[in-house]
Formats: sequence, C-alpha cells, structure tokens
Amino acid sequence: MKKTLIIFTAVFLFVSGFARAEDMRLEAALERNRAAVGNPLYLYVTFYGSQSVERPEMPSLDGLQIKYVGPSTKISVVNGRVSRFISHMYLVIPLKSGRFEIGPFFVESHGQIYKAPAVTLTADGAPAAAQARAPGALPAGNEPQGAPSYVSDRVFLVMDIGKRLVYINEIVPVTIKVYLMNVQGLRDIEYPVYPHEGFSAGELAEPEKRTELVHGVRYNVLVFRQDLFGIKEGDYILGPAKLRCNLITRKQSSRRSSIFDIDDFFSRRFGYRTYPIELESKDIPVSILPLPEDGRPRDFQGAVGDFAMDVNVNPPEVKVGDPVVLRMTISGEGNLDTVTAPCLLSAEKFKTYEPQVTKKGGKKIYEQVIIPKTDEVKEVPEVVFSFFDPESGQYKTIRKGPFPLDVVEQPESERGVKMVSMPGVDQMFYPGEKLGRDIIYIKENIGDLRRKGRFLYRNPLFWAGQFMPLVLFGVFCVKHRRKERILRDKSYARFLKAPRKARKGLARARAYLGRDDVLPFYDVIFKTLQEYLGGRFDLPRGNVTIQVIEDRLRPARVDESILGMLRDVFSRCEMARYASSVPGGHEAKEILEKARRIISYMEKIKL
Amino acid sequence: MRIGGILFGTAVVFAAVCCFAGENEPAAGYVSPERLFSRGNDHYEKAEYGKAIDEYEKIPALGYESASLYYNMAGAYFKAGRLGKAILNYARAKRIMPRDADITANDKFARAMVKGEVIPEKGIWTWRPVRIYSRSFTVDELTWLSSGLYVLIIVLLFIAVIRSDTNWYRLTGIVLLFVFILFNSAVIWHKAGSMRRDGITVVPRAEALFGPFDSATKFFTLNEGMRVTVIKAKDDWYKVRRADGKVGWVRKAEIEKI
Repeated sequence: MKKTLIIFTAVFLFVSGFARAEDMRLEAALERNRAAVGNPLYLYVTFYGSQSVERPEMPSLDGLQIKYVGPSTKISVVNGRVSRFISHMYLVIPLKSGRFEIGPFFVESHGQIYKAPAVTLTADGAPAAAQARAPGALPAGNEPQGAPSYVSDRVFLVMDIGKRLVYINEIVPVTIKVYLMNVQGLRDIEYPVYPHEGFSAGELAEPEKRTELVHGVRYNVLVFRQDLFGIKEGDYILGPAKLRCNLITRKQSSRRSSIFDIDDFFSRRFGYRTYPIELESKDIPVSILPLPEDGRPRDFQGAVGDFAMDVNVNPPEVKVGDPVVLRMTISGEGNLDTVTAPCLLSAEKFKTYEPQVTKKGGKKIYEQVIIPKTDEVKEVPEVVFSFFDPESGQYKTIRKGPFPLDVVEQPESERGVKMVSMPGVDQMFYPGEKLGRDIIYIKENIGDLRRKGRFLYRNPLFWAGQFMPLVLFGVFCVKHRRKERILRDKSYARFLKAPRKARKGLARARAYLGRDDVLPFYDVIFKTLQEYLGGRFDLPRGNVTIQVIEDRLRPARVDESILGMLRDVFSRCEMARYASSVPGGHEAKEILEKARRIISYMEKIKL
Repeated sequence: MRIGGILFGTAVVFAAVCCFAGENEPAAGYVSPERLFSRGNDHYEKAEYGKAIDEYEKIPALGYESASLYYNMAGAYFKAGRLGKAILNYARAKRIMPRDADITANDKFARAMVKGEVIPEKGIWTWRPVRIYSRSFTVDELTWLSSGLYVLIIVLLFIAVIRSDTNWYRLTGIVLLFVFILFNSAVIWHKAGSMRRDGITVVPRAEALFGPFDSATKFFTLNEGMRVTVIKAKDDWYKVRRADGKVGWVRKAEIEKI
C-alpha cells in the first residue's frame, strides 16, 4: 500500500511538472461556419495546459441562442510529453439569418488572462452549401432532395474523369464518389447513372469504401469506378451523375424548439429515421479527338492502349504439310476490344487459317494454324502488331520473329490425313487440298413432326402409369403378408376359413332340408356352428359347448336375442340328434334361419 | 387381382380420352406442315432464303415442330445473314435431337462466329461430365430413363418381399438407383427450366442496362447469337443473366427464348 502511494505521488509530480512546462493557450472553434436558421451547431472553447479553468462568459447576441452544454477533459502522453486540456462545449442555435461574430473569449488561469479570438458564423434560410466544405461538392440549389436541410454539406456526390481530352477508343476511367460526414449512414444505394453521349461505357465495378481528408475534414467515401471509351469525335458533356439512396439520420423529438432536447447525448434514445434522397454531381466537359493520320502504320487495325506481345511457335520441327500453331498473346493496358490479330508478314510459303481468339483476364490470345508448303521454309516470318499509345500520342509497332522452323520433306508413306486439335479448330488437313468451311446442307425430310411443347413429364397419363407399379406393389405386399401369416398361424387360418366353411355347411343343411332328410340336417347344423365358433374363438371343435361360447360372448356385450337363438339352436340340435322324435318341416326351417342369422351377426361384430 | 384389373381399365380409358382430346379438323385452305417444309426446301435450293424462312415459320405457327424443321430454318437464317436467329433455331433443333451430327456441327460452326467471348461462371451445371450428360439426351429420353429405373427399383423390391431376406447387394443397388433417379430428375428439372429461361440475342448488338428504362446506364453488351438466361420480364424488358453472371435489362425484341 505504501509502495503504491509512493509511485502514485511520483507520477502525479511528474505529470504536474510537465504540465507547468507546456504552453498554455485558449482556442475557440465552431463545428462549422455556416448553418441554416434553426439548425444547431456546437461551439468549443478549449484551454490547453490546465483542466481547472472556469468556462468563459458568453455574450448575449441578437439572433443567436447559446446554451452551455458542459465541459470535457483529456490527458494524453505522447513520447513522454504530457498534454491536457479542458474543452467547454456550447450549443449555438441561429434564430435569424445574418453574419454573427461570437467572442472574443477570456479565461483566467494561475493569475493570468488568456484570450481566444472571435469566431464567425453565417446563418441563412437555405441549407449550407456543400462548396463551403469541399471542392467539387454539391452546387447551390442541388441539395439532396427529401433530406433534412442540415445534411446537404455532409453528403454529396463528386464525379471525376481521368482526362478531359481523350482519343477515340481510348479507355478513360470515371470515378463517382459519395462523401459522407457526420451522418448515421446511407442504405439502399443504387448505382449512379449519368448521360455519356459520345462514349461507350464498360461495366461498373463493385464500389469501394475508404476515408478521405478534404480541407482537414475526414469523410467516409464510397467510390464507384467505370471505364469509358470515346466512340465519336467531338465535344461532349459528361454527367451530371445522379445517385439515389436512403439517408439515415438520428430521429429527433418533435419538441425541437426547446434546446434542452437537442443534446446529442440524450437524443440517442429517439432511434433513427430514413429519407430517400437523390444526390447530383457537377457535369464535366470532355473532348474526344480523332486518331492522328500522321505516322499511322499500314498494319494498324485500331488498337488503342499500351500493349505488349508475346509469340510462341509450336512445334519447332515439322514435316511438310504438318500444322504449326502460332500462339500470339497481347497484354497490357488499354481497350482490348479494339485489339485484332497480329499480322504475319510474308506468309506465302505457308497455308494459313483464320486465328482463333480467347480472352483471359487482361490478355487476348490468338492461335493460328499455319502449314509449311515446302521444305524450303526455314523460319516462321515476322509477326507485327501496331497500336496507338494515347499517353505519348504516337503509333507504336511491336515486331517479333522471325522464328526458326525446321521443315523436312514428308516421306511418301506418311502422307495422308493430319489432325489439328485446338479450341475452335478440329479439322482434317490433306496435303495440297483446300478446305472450305460452311454449314452442312439442309435435311430433305421433315422427320418426326410433333405438337409444340409436348413433353412426357407434362403428360398426366405418364404420371398415372408411374403410379400403377407402386399401387401393384402395395397390393402385393398386403396379400403376401396375409399369405405368410396363414402359413405360420393355424388359428388365424381357421379364423379366416370359418365363414366360408359355415356358408358351405348351411348350404349342405339346406339341401338335406329340401330332401326332407331331417336327421342329417340337424347334425350338419350342429357341426357347422361348432366348426364356425371353434374357428372364431380358436377352440377345438369338441370343446365348443353353449356354456363355453356364452362365457366368451358375454364380455363382448353380444345381443341377448342372439344368445337366446344360440341356446335354442344348440338344444334343439342335441334333442334331434339324441332323441327319437325329430321335429321337421317348419321348425327345421326356423332352425336353419336362426343358424344363418347367428353366423351373419357374428361376422359383423368384432371379438 | 380385381384391383389390378380396375386400375388397368381406368388407365386404358384415360389413355383413350387423352389421345382423342384436342384433335381438330383441318380448316379450309389448310396446307400441311410437310407441304410447307417441302416448299421451304425448294426456296432454299434456289437460294431464296427469305422465302424459305417464310414457309418454314408457318409450321411452328400451326403448332408443330421437328428437329429437321428447326435445322433447315436455322440454315436459311444463317444464309440470310441472321446469325442470332440461326443459333436460336439450332438450339431448338438440338433440344429435340441432341445427338444429330449435322445439327451439332452447324451449331458449333454458327456459334464460333459470335463476336466477343464470355467466360462462363463455374457451377455444377458447367461441370463437363454433367454438361455432356445433360446435352446428350432430350428431356423425354431422360424422363423415360428415370421411369425405367423406377420400375427396376419396384421389381427389386418385389424380389426382396418374395425372398424375405436381406441381400446387401440388392439393397445397395436400390439405394444407388434411387440416387441416380434423383440426379436424373435434377437434370430434367434444370433442362426443362433452361428451355423456359434460355434466350438468344437476335439483333446485331443489344445493350444491357442497369434498369428497365431507356435512360439507364449501360452495363454490358450482348452480341448477336449470345446466349442469356431470362430471369424475369417487365413491360417491354427482360432481365437477363449473361454466362459470366452479369445481370442487366434488355428490350424484349432483342432476345428470343429457345
């Protein structure tokens, strides 16, 4: 504890010592020098060298309302040098337009009076002009539409072009910058649009974010870049560029008239508001010059830029009639769209084919097939490419080669078909034969004529057909499972067979009754019921008695009349089978009907 | 058995209704598509390409199409110097007969004449094996293939149910077939979608703008014969995507859908 106290005291004395040594001064600064009537801004009166300075008294000025907000203090140590200051902050609201001089300001520290010169504020009815803050900013009268009036000098659009004098087909970069300062942000930013008569525009690149210092003020900047090239000579006006976006500002209270509500610190609780705005830049006069006639090479085809050429010959050793691929790569800065194939000088001893072109990044690659006609050929002739360099204003020609080529006579046995394979060329070469290129002739028959737009996947019949195998498979699965169970589970098999057997038994009984053969009739009825009920309840036929069946049926809450019928049928059948007298005629028919009703009822209920 | 019979009967009745629905009697003065085709060929042989095109174009207007028709029509357009229309009709012919050597050769030749190379963005549909597979079959062929594989899966399931055993080879086969059907269905979906969305630039030079209005900033250029994907339509404008992924608005008259 004691050690800590000693260290703290030492640091305090060290800091105090340096503080006395540093320069003491008073400065006053406004947040900005222009403001619209009713729009508040801050005034900072800062004393360097001490933090125990009272706030200066503020004079009362007609047309301005000034309110003291509070002090803020800071100590900083840079390279062992301590500096500290106190900044008194005032809120200034212009109540009427005019030019106001605030100050000078006086404070006392350690018995001395310090003075800061007065600051000047211009208040007007219109929003402050952007030009007051940055060059090329929004012209007067072109303030962002729909935004609060005080943002026009904080958000503006600047368009710039790399050169004002350009040649036809020369690539010239255009930058369009959105400057932002002291606003919450922008969103829903659309790509800028601008008239560009006389120019052809390339693709707008993805915007880049950065910060820039303009006249001592740091701005957040969004940069759009686009390449243009002039297509028609003359004087043109580029722009003005327009950009639409939504401005986000801090939402403020409707009781704005009271200065106590404007404090930035307290306004945080009020959220944000967006305003759709359209920013507009200045326009730019540009002249497009024609390419000079003087010094134009004969092989010049219109390429404009600063290019390099690389040529490669493959293979270096061939037989007469064999193809050689000449690969010519053009790279560099400039308008690649204006670049055409380089020229092959003195190619009489070669059969040449049209070069095939591919574009990769900033390169254009030409591949040309040439075929030596004789073994007198010793080299691939010079390749020439000319272009106009807009920076120097002169034509330039690149020459490559000649390239050594070892050509030997082809043996008779090897003469025939040669194949060349490269992008776009896939062709047979016969020595001494000229090949033309055209489309293949038309077809004579109309072929398979069909209705337009008819496709299988749109045909409902097709989908119905697709559905059928699935249905068949489902039916098959159900049947297969049932068959398997019948084979495995005998009681289940008896259960399933019981109704069919019962129907057969009843038919047989009906036949006996028809022949008036009553004794076997009762026997069949009895056995049919025994067999049926045994199957339903999984009982051996001998165990099926009226008592056992009643015990099984009662929990199922079977209709009492059915139970009565069952008792009646069983007792009469037993009587008929074992007694000497057998009732016939009407009574037998009644028994048959009851047996049928019992079986029919049992089929309907779930046991 | 009874259910199968009912389903079969329903299918037969349904097929009959589908087959006979929509057949119309030819109107007076009707010229058959075959006759129009023959007339077009006659004009083509006399190098009267404009008249040949007029005759050929009447056939799609009647609601009919064939690969040979589009092929000949493309040839006539090519000879008439209308590269965009030629490529458009070769693309239509390839849609119906993708493996025809004449169509492929002429399509390749015509496309080689399109100015300005656009390097396509990479993606599953530009992967060479998938691209070759997709381009080698028609939508109907791919649909039949999926259908056949589906029936094969059902047959394997029948066998599995009858044998009541777990055969891992059979199970793997079913899973692989199912995965291939999914892949095939994705190809069908992509191909069918492409037919609705793909278009060809039919004017010598079309400017793609940032918005669907004349004063919008130009974004990029479409040369005659360039293929684009139509994303959406608004009034007289199509929103299109070029092969390299750039999106812009072009006038409807400058693009024709395949």
